[in-house]
This record gives sequence, structure tokens and C-alpha cells, in this order.
Amino acid sequence: MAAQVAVENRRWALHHPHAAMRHKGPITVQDVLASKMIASPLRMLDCAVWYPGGIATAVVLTRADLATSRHAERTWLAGFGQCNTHEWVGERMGGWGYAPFEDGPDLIQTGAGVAAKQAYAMSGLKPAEMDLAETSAPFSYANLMMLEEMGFCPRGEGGRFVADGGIAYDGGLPFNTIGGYLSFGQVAQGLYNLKEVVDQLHGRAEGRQVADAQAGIVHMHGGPLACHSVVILTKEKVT
Amino acid sequence: MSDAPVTDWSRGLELKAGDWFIGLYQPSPETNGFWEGVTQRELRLNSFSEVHRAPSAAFAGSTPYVVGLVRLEEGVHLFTRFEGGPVAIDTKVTVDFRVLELGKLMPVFRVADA
Repeated sequence: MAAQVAVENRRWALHHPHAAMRHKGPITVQDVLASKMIASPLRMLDCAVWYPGGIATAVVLTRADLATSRHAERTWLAGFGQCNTHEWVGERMGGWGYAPFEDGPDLIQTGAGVAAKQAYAMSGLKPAEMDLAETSAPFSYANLMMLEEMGFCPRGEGGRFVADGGIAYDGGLPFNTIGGYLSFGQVAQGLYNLKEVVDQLHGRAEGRQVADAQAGIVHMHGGPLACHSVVILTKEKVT
Repeated sequence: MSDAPVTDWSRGLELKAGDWFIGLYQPSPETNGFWEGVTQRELRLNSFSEVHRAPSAAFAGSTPYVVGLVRLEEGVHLFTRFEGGPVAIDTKVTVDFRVLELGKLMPVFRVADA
């Protein structure tokens, strides 16, 4: 089902004018499974592509009263969270005694889940209230993990969630609406993904607009699934 | 054992293979004794991946090679290189030493004799 993530990402990318793979056409699960092996079990289409280039993103963050008085178009920071567990991949299994590795290290949790819980708690919102989700996961399997970490399905259920149409382009959770790292490209640590949610909330995501988007969640990270930030943005003030 | 010079880890080293900073092995004064101790233990393979695409030119002659996590019986994990034939999850492995692309003598792991 990891391959299905690559397929869904590509479907979104075809509608984004700057996505790196927008001209490559749709792909199938068979295409993913037949692409060349990079590092088992990850094949080429399981991996992020280089970002398309020519992209710079900046964010202006200000007080609510200034935003209200000076800006016609406002986006509200409803909640955020952050959790860093390690730096280099060799330290990935070195954590012990701190969230999420209170009982020792494992390979199925990351700091993203901790960050997401913080963001949801601050916003008072639930995963089911998210109209779209973006992640900076650079591999297909990591997308499954991030769906779990962001609370869209229980741990270990990411594959089944996707198999059941959970992120289907038609009717599922709008997930990686720019095409994700696999088909849009790996952009910085995810700031462009944040911009995408802002665009979606304000109806500016031409060609890929999520209908009546009111709230979205963004997972950004740096390092080998090391340093995670999760942000929940809303169109109207909720907190 | 190889005749290659044994690296002095005692002050920590930034290891590079060509222009690629590996970042995987960062021995330091705190871990120096651990690295020496590794030679005495039995280890188990925790997860692995066979790398087909070299991260830099220095690795081009080595692909495919296998990297992954070893779980020591004491519960500590190492991210390392595997040598000498097929491996599988929970395979028992033992330590060996080889000069890797870094140009340093490094511990590698291979399937233990039954």
C-alpha cells in the first residue's frame, strides 16, 4: 500500500503548475513496483524527487490584532507542536526515556506524533476536522507513518487506511495536495507545504482546490525523521 | 584483522567519503569504549536495506551493499554495514573489521556461524 501513496501523490501533482513530476503523467502501483531498486525495499517511485526549483516561501507571523486590523486575508495558527528525537540516522535508535521513546527506541514512532498531539490539543480540533493534510515525508512508507502520526488512523493501520481509499484522490482525505515530496519534490523542510494549506484555505489552489477548506494540518521535518513540527491552520479563528 | 591503521577515535572524527559527510559513525570520547567493546559481543540484525544507488562516487564500486541496525543483547542498537551474503531480520551476526569507503578501519557485521 506504500506504492498506492506514490500513485495518489502523482494524481495531485498533475494539477500543480510547479510540481516536478507534473509532465510525467499518472502512474500505477505496477509502475511503482517495477521501478528500479534504490535501497530495498524502496524503489525509485517510492522516493522523493528533487524540488522543482525557482521556489521561495516566506511566512509573516503577527499578533491577532494586527492581523485583523491590517490584513484582508488572514490565516489563523490554531495549534502547533514540535518534537526532536535525534540528529543523525545512527542515533535513530538511541532514544530512551523521553517522548515518544519513554519505554525505549523503536522504528514505528517518530517525534511527529508527539508534535501532532500538541498541535491538536492547542487547537481543540480533531483529525476528523481536518479538510486536508500535508506531510514532508520523503518516502512512500514514511507517508503511511505520518498518516498514523497525524491521527488519521491507528498505529499500524496506515496501509489499510490507504487501501480502503483513505487518501484516494476521489473522495478520500485530500493528502499532499501539491503532490507531496514524491511528485512535487522535496522542498526545504516543508515550508512550501504550509503555504499550500494557506492557499487552500483561501481558495487559491487553482486546479486542485479542496472544496470549502476550513482547516488543514501540516507536518514539516528535518533530518532523517529527526526534527518535527506540526502546524494546524484555520480560515476562521477557533482558539 | 586487517593491517590497516587503527583509527584513533578518542577525540571524535567527522568522517567523509569524498565530499559526502556520512554522519553515521560519530565516535567520541563517550563512545570510544563502546566501540572497543563491540568486538566481544554477539549481535542480532534488527532491520536492513540493500543499497543499490550509491550516495556518492566513493560508493559507486560497492553497490549493492547492505546497511541496517544491529541489536546487541544488552539492548543497544548500532547502525552498520553487513557483509558476506544474505541476511534476514533476527539473523545472529558477529562483528568483523574492514576498511570501508571512508578509508577507515570499521566494524562490519556478518551472519554468525550456526
